[in-house]
Amino acid sequence: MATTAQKRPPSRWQEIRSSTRYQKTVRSIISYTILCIGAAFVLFPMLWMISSSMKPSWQIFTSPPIWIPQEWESVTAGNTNRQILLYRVQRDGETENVIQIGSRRYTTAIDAARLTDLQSVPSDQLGTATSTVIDGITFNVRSWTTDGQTQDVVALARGEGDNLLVAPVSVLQTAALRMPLDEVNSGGRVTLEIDGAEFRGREIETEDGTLSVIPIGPETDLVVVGPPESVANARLVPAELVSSAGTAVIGETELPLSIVEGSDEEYIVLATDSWQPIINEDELDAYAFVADRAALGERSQRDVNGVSVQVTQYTPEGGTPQTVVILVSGTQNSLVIPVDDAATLRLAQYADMTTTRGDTMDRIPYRVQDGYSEGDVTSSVALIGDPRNMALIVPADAVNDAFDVAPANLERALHTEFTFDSYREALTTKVGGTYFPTFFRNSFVLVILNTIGHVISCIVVAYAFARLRAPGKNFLFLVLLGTMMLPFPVTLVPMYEIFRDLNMVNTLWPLFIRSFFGNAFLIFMMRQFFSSIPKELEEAARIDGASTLRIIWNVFVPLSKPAIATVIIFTFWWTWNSFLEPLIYLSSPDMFPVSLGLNFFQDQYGTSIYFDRLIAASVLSMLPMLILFFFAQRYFIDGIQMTGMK
Amino acid sequence: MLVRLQKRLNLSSPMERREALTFYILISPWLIGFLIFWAYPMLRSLYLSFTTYSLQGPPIWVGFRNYERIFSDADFWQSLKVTLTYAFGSVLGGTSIALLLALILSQKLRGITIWRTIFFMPSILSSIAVAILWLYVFRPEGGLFNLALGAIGIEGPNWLNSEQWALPAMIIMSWWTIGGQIVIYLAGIKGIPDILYEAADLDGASPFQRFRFITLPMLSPTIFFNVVLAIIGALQVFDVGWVLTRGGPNDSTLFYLINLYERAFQLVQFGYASALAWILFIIIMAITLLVIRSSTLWVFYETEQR
Repeated sequence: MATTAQKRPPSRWQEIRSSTRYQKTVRSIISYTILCIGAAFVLFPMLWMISSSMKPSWQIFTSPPIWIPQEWESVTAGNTNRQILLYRVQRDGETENVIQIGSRRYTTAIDAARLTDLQSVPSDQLGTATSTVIDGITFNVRSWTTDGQTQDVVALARGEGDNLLVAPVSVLQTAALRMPLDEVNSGGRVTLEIDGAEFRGREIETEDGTLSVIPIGPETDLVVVGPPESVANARLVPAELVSSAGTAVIGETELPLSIVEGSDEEYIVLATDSWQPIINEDELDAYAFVADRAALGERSQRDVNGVSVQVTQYTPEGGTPQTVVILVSGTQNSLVIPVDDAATLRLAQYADMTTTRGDTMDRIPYRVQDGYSEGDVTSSVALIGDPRNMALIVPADAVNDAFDVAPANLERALHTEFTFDSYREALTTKVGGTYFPTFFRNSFVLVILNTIGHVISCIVVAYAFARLRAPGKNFLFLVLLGTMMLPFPVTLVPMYEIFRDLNMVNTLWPLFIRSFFGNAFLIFMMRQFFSSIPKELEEAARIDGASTLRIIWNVFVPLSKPAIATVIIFTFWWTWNSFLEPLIYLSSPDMFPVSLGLNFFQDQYGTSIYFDRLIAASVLSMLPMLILFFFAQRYFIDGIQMTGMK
Repeated sequence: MLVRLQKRLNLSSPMERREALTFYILISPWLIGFLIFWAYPMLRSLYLSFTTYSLQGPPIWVGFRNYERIFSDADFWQSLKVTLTYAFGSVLGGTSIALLLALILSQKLRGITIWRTIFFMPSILSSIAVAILWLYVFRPEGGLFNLALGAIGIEGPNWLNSEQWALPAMIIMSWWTIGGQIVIYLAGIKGIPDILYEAADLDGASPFQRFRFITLPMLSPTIFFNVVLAIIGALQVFDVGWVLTRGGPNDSTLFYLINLYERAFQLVQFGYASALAWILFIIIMAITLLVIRSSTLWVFYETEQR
């Protein structure tokens, strides 16, 4: 074999393989692959964080991750501010947008009278349960293997010890019913005895008499959905006026129908929530007034703009009576507004009244919700009276276009939307008794002071090391280089002592004062730069009689802009990112720099409940560094090369 | 010595004397800073390490008692183990990855500045922001790391809450910020004279041989210096462990500096903490010396040729 192979001329493939071009291509493919893996490792966490900072919080920990922030799509129900979520569903090969108009839960129940063939089986002889649909009824089927024979069974109850009571699927098929869970649960509880075993069942009244059933599960949902247009005519009615009026059959499920007191028309209830009467604050400021109790007549309930409110007759002394809405009723007097001026009186979802504040008019207090938004309009609204339960109803003709679908086939309709709520909250929420922008201010103050200190001290010291001759200079330069390698923890404790004795603990002083005494690395870098400046330039100045400081200022500083830029950038970098020293020296949060302040968004073990704010705050904290980096990357890289090349 | 200095000063001309005086005036900020913020604290901390001291009243001399207590303290040994493991993992892994990427980037590839920007970017971020970012990456559910592992069929652990995996998680995290090393190695490789590679090409050297016999030896002083710096840095790590786990779970990420910080600034045992600091100082100096001594075995200096 081997000899024949040797004799054979090199194949085309071998030729290709040995060609330089081929090798180069392979090598560059491998190179790019490794680079891409590395870049993914670097970029994905950052992109994830930046995109998460602009997501609504429910999207932050989805799996798989959502890379582009999205928002739920919704339609507005009728003339209310209630948003109804949109879903996408596949029907006849097409994707449709729908809204949920009802859902019902079903369970599999066994007609106790027809249950036979029960067996007690050790649980380890049973396979795992798989949900199987037989003739429209769902069973948790398990395989039972005994004596080499396998049959499908369903576990019904616990038996003695580790045994389970099972029945063969073939028996259950004839005895099982698919029943709405609410119907099953409405029956009275009963204990049934079958083949000596006890079962907990329900007794249900049917047209043919009492039926004893044993619910065995699994429970399944069926959702009724309809076109989004169904909500166009939606309106709110007080929940207590709504009563049940049978069901409409939709596909495999039923949808409960309702009637509203005083009418025979049938409706579908989309949702029942708590609603709060509100009125725009500027309208309240313009038209509301405080009326003396004596000037007010009998109170009555009346609909104003579809909102049931208390109204009364107001008769000012010597004036004409008018009907007013009572906004806040007090013991001596009440805050009222004329009915005709209460144009913005309406209902708002109570769930939106999350951050109310108190306000008063002539010492009568009321509550205000700022930033209440309806569509594009945001306003401050005053809360009137108590919240009430309201049912959102649509006419029952909506069932004509409705159909049923399993919840698994419903998918929330989403669209790309960047939200800045996390940022707003991070910036405006009180943390540690102060606000996040304070940390920024502190960091910037430190950056500026440290920069001034480093630039002045490093230029002067570096000049001396670069240009002047003196005994002991080389030794001192070695000491300077040595301090770059010294571990700083060894100085932590005495340094704290020094600043404590100077009464500087819990001030910013310890965090910037040392920069006025130079920094070994920056001095070294500056000296290298100064050494490369031709001597002739300063000779000329010196002959003119310029002083040393003047030479530094007039000759070296203008020529050293790149080096000074590096000093500034490195100072910014170190100051912005320093953590341990602020942690040691500062205890009042209003003095914290960003690095330390960030920790406030996080509790001890990183399980922050405010993770959306924490992410936004982290991105904010990175921003100055990222901006600096993109504008001055060259200086970072030059400086870094200095640190590593000796 | 002072006399000799005096002599030399006296011998020199007035102009030289003036220049020396200017020198000392100009470096005085650094010199004073060095004395106040390095020399004095080091000596003071050495003294305090033989005392018991809690800022109340004067330090009380206790001889070697702090050191004896430290060596019989399980926390100390645990923190030492954790810190050395971290230093080993982060330096070995970080250096290898940085070298590999620098080597690739040193070839004539497209978009070199973009790649360099990408790899360098994380190292400019504050360790706190980076730690918070990775807090989310390492989340057991919905965290990117476990999602990536899941994509290749591995079920990832609950990284930061697991005694076994919290430290490895931090080591992996440290590899995220090796951009600085990449930049340094890249510059080092660029500084190798082309003539060496041309000669190798004439001899028909393979890419691996070029790496093994030219790049690696020529780059070894740079690698050596950066490994030393990286070890020193890794032994003093604090922020990451503090923000991510506070040393937990069950001390599995108790870095040396976290232990020291807790002793000094939470328990106010300044004597004990000073002794801890000096032990760290000695360890760092010893490791540095060890690496320098061993460097003759693997670092190639150009002067050897002559």
